[in-house]
Amino acid sequence: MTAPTESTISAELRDKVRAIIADVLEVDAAELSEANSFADDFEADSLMSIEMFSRFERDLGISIPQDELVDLDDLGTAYELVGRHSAAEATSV
Amino acid sequence: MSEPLPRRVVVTGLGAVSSLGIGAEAVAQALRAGRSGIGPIEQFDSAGFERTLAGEVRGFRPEEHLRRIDPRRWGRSAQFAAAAARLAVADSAMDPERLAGSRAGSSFGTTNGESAVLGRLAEQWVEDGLAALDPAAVAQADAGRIAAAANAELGLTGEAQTLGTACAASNYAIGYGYDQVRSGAADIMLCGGADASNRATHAGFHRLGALAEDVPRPFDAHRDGIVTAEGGVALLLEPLEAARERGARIYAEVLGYGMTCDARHMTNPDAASIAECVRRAHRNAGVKPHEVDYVCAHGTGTPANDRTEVAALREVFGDRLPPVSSIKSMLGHTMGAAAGFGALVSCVAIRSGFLPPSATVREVDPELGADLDCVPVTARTERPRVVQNHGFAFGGNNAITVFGEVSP
Amino acid sequence: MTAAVLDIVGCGVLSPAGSGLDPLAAALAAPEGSAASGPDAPDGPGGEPFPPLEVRPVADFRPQERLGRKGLSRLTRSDQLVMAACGEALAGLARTAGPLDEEARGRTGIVVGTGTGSVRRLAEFTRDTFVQERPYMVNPSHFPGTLMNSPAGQSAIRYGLTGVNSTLSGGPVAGLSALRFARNALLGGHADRLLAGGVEELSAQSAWAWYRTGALGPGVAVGEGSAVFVLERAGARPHGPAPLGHLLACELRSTDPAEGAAAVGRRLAECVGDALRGAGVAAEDVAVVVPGAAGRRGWSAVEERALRRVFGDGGPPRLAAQSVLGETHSAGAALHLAALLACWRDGTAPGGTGLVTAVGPDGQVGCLVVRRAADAAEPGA
Repeated sequence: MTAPTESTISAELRDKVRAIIADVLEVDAAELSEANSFADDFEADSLMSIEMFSRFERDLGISIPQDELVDLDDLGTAYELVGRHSAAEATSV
Repeated sequence: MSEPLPRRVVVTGLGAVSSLGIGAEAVAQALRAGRSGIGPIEQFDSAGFERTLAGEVRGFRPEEHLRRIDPRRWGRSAQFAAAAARLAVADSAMDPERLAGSRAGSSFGTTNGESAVLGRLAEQWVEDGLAALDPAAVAQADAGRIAAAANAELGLTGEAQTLGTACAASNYAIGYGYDQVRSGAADIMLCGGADASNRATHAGFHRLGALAEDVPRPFDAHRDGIVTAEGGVALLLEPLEAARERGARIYAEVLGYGMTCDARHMTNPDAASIAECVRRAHRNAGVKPHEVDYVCAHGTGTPANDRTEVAALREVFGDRLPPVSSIKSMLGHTMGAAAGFGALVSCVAIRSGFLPPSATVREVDPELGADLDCVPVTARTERPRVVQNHGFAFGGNNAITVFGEVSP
Repeated sequence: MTAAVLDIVGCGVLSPAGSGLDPLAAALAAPEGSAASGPDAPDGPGGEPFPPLEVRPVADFRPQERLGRKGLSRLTRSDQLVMAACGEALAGLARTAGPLDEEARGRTGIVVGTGTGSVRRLAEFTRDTFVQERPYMVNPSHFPGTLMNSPAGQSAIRYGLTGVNSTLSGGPVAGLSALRFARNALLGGHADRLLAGGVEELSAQSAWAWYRTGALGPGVAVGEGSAVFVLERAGARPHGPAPLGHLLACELRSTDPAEGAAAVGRRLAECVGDALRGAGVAAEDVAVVVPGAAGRRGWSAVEERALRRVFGDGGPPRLAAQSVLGETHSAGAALHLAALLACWRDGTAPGGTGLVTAVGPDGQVGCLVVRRAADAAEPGA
């Protein structure tokens, strides 16, 4: 397996991911930066992490396998996971 | 009749409707043998789910077990409770007429109430709109009908309390019933829990990533979650003196119970709060940690529960942890009935002398500590004198009951 | 018998009349039908239309202002109502006795009576399992709210109350189920202080259920609300402010409903008789009765016959709060007790001892006996 990079995610998808996360955290998307910790800065918890993953699946059609469902805590990890699995889906079609 | 209060309270009857069989003896034998009650889902359409196993009561024919109430007028959860209560009375060899004429009531716990009925109503909404809701189903929807069904089936005239404290609810119900008999408010209480397999619960745990791929493996290094399950269970509680007078077979004495609320998070368990619950249960029961011979664990088989539960036990027991096992390895998670099944097996363990196994464990999780004795794979012949039975729930509701042998 | 008496030292009430006891007393004293039926019907975005029934939502309930915006969408309306009621009760307590410290919060808990929890949340969650692409594509943050114990659990988190926390289901009897559970927990030493009561939320789903069953009496609205009462063992605070009332007894009984409504009524009469005996109150000393089933077709007459068995023809005046509240199902018994306390404080109901009754179509019956605080001057009498 090659090391995944963030470059696999398009700017458009990146915006969508950010919008979903902002929505779950109940903050303005503009308030959300890659330096933020969801837990420390926005009181996110494990249930909200799962809500983010389920929104990726419901709204973007991107499902992350159960064994990769970590406690999402920052945008970078979210972009990486979504990027990798959207790419996997694209190539498997 | 001026028996001194508070009275000692004993369990003299057990009843169960489960994936492992009907009746306390069948269930206890299956648990002792390490059998699994888990199989394909039949109670709802499982198409589209990635996890399609559950611990369901297969081929349940309520009319075979219910003598008085008409099953068509009661939901599946109420049927389970009423059937388990009827079985517990038969097991206690108490005369049903005498029972109905006594100051007797019931308290039952549930997580999802009449979930099978509610699922049908939701489906009617989706298919045909709210104007098409079936009035007969609406009339069966309240969870409070679970204990009411047990009373109606047995002709009891006392209270019928239904506890909605989710997966700890049976322990709340047993504790409540114990207090009623102990204080003299009632002379007999039927206590336990009931829940029915249903789509919403399965979907919810599925979404949380909390469902095991095949069977639940509590305390295993690679445990990956619960399996949803259903059933009904009942214990008949009466004063020790009355039980002795009528020459009843006594399973165990109810020594006490404790309750706490995490007040931190709706779904994550909290070790400190569970440890406090253990201490409160010990205090209420008048037992010391070193007197506890066995812990019937909540033991759901999710990574978080088992880790938290063992950590909480270590807070109270230090390095002298008694054997701790989980019957959910065989029954799956029967939700509001779960702690009731734990209570049932605790009582049988005390009377018959065995510890039920964590039947599905393959490699005990080293992170839980090398000294953890989870009674792996097979039951052990050993007579515990004092057993504590755990029930923890969403909403941070914890309740622990303590049972003990009755000296002859 | 004083050992078995509980003091009601505070309360939090949200009803179709508004927040607190005062608007409830005012609405009950006003001419029939003058209760607020405000424009703030609780069907939020995506809400279904209501059936052709009059509805009585909680008046002036603005959860954002009371509870803050954050996390509100994950809470059910039942969660919000109980949270707001507990918040009111705790604020009242803090005004008279100061805020609870951590030790006190560890001995303080919440006990809520409900029917099936949030009907709307459970219905919408289940709906998703049918209409989403895959049945498990539900909103995980909405899962805890599908459970009956969500209002009690969420409120405990909000106010840091780690004492006994419980939820009871009993349909129209549920408020009494909760008060009785709380009474047992307090008298058994499991807690020092419990906020106990009931909740019912209005939704299109539940309104349609009422409409389809035809169980409402003629012209009765569907209401909602929550009332919680702060209960302590009698005399636990000898120097505190005078309590609102003393809970002398709370009894529940049941009958197989297949025996018919008359049998259920006889059981209620028995239950009231036992409760009065337990409380040491003679039937002729009951000053007012708050009937629970006055909004229900058929059951209203059953309850009235039971009351006549106890009190004879006539008997004490009835305070039927349904004219203001509508039928509030599992919040009913708690809201009816609130109505009685409100009228006592307002001087619009006869003082002394009151009786609150409830009857369920599943054969459950119950009642409580409460004495106005000012009338209980001689302790140990």
